[in-house]
Amino acid sequence: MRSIVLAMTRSVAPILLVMFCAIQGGAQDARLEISQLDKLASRAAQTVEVSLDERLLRIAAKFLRSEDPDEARIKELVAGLKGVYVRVFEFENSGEYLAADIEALRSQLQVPGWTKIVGVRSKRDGQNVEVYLKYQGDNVSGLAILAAEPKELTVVNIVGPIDLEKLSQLEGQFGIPKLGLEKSGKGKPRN
Amino acid sequence: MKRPHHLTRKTVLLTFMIALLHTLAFNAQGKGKGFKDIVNHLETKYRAKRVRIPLLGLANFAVKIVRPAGVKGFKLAVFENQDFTLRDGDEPFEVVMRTAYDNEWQPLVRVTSKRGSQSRVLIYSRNAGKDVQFALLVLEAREAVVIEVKFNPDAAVRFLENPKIMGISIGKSIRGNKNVANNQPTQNSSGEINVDSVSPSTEATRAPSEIGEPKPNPPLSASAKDENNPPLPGDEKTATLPVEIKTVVPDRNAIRIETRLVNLNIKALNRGGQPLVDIKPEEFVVYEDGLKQAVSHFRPVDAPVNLILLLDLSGSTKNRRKAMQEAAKRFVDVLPAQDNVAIVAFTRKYRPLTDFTRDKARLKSVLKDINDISGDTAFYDSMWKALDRLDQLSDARKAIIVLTDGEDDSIESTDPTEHSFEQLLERASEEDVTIYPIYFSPSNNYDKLGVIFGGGNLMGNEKSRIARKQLNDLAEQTGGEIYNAQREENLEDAYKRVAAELHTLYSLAYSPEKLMHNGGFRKISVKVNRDGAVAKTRRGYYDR
Repeated sequence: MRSIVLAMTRSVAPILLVMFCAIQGGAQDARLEISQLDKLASRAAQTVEVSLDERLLRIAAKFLRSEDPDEARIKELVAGLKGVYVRVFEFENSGEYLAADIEALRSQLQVPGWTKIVGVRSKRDGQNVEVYLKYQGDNVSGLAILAAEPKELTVVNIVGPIDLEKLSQLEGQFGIPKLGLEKSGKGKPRN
Repeated sequence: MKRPHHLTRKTVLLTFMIALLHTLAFNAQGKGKGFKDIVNHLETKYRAKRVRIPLLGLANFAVKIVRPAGVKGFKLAVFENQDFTLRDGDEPFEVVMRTAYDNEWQPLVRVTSKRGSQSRVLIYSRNAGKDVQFALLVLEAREAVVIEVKFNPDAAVRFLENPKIMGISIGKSIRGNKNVANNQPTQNSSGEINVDSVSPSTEATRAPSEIGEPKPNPPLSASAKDENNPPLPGDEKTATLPVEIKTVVPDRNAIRIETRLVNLNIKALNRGGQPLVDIKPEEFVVYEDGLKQAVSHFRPVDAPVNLILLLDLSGSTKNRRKAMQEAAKRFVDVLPAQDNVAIVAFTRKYRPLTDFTRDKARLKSVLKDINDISGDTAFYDSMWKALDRLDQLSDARKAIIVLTDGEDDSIESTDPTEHSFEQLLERASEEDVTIYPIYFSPSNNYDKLGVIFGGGNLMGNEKSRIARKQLNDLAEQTGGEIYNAQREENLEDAYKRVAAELHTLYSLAYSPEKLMHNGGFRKISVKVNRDGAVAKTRRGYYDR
């Protein structure tokens, strides 16, 4: 009897472990490795870095008032998020960072699961805004925004379920800069 | 030669004390390393001198005792008129900070600017159980500030809502409330009315003319007609007319001074376990940590109770809604006319269905709409919000009757809730609220012994066992009682017992002496000076 139980445990345990990792992995894949951008800080005139994990987000949400409609919306938006990570680099002159500097970041967004839903490129002012969503099944499990201007680079990575319709409400909160996402429009995911 | 016994014991004690002190010193040194290292770096590398802040040590000591706004301790160092310009070859401050604080500390915010004053802001944070620690370094070309602070977020939020230091109110809510002026509840995105937005206390028994005046101490009297709690206008003449409790806005210019009062809801029983309803105030004797206390307030058993009827409308109760509706309606019917009831439903969300009211028709009408509500279970957070709501009432006779299987989503899952059960239990044990869980078993297994009050064998899985224990703990800590409703037909009976139980409670209050605000637990015991009588109340409170 004992040997049967042990045998069953040995066969079931790996399956459960894989399932557990898959569930956890969904959330972890949505988190980008953006620390390689830190090398830009030495060239930047100003750097802003914000890293809010799940617990800190929950603590921050406590201080948002449910009675205030705006804060209540943000509170609802933030509930369930696993992390918010922001990097902003401002440079004195154009050309102080190169496309190659952010190539490693872009390559993370090319893997299956990430879908580019917004791409705005302005030749006039050299601005390039890209919004990516990470899907897990039909649900959004992460978001990445890459906003590149000649003298400024902004990367925002939000991990967790997020409603794109309400994304613009997060601008200006938790260190996320105002990127004019509402004006950019929202495209349908391309499969 | 045999060493004298007392010398051996002395030596052992002395060795122990030295070892203990050394350990404490080492730990203190280890914990303070981050702040000390940063300050040391600024003092040695930049030959900077700290600004002397008078009485800073005393302030820190006071903070540790008083814990204003949830802050449990802080360290502060200020440097002014020093040169903190980074020179070639100097280690960046980011590296210094990272080295000073170990891996338990995570960077939260880093802002560096090479323009103008070359400012740097570095904020690190660390989880410390229920608390959070922050380390902040702000550097400019000629100034530097280093701060380390530890605080409890829940206490800080509570402080923002109701700023009090040592029980003394220091003003209106710091958070403010946009809708207070119009006294309008807000609607959230789902269309639910958020009664929580109506922050002014619901003065259920005070006439509007009394707003802004200090509440006089009610005389010790067993009379049901309490002079200081006049009936609502119209009640005397037409007792059957429904009355909705009006939420009034207190005079914001009034200065309110509140002293610490410990409120107790007490049940007195005879030898046979039957409740005694004719106890005089002078028959109660209250002890706190063994010291007799002077009772200053008393309310008899038939004084009105303010209660929240909290209904678990998660998926697990969906098939039993009809029974829940009928039982809840009967409960409303048997309650005395003077009790104020608010009905709240919860799933993952906290859904107030009514404000406090004596209008039984209104209460029963909202119960018709509970069939369509369903969802997951956020029991702890919903109980927390119910406590928040009752906290707004000045009246100390408060209760929560919660019908639930108690199985919060966070039990045996990774689904986090805002508050843990431990936080909820700690808070409940400190509040003036008595909790009566009606345990609605999630399984169809029947207890072979039938309905058992306050105990019984539990059939079912581990989650159910945990949930039931938690409900029992909540009842026990608050002086309440848990009722089992394993079958639908037991629900009505359970509610009736709760209704009867509510009005076997006396309320009294006293002002404890010598509060230390050290977080220690103060044990309360109550005796009744009557042959064979015993008293039951909550166990105590944390002296914060």
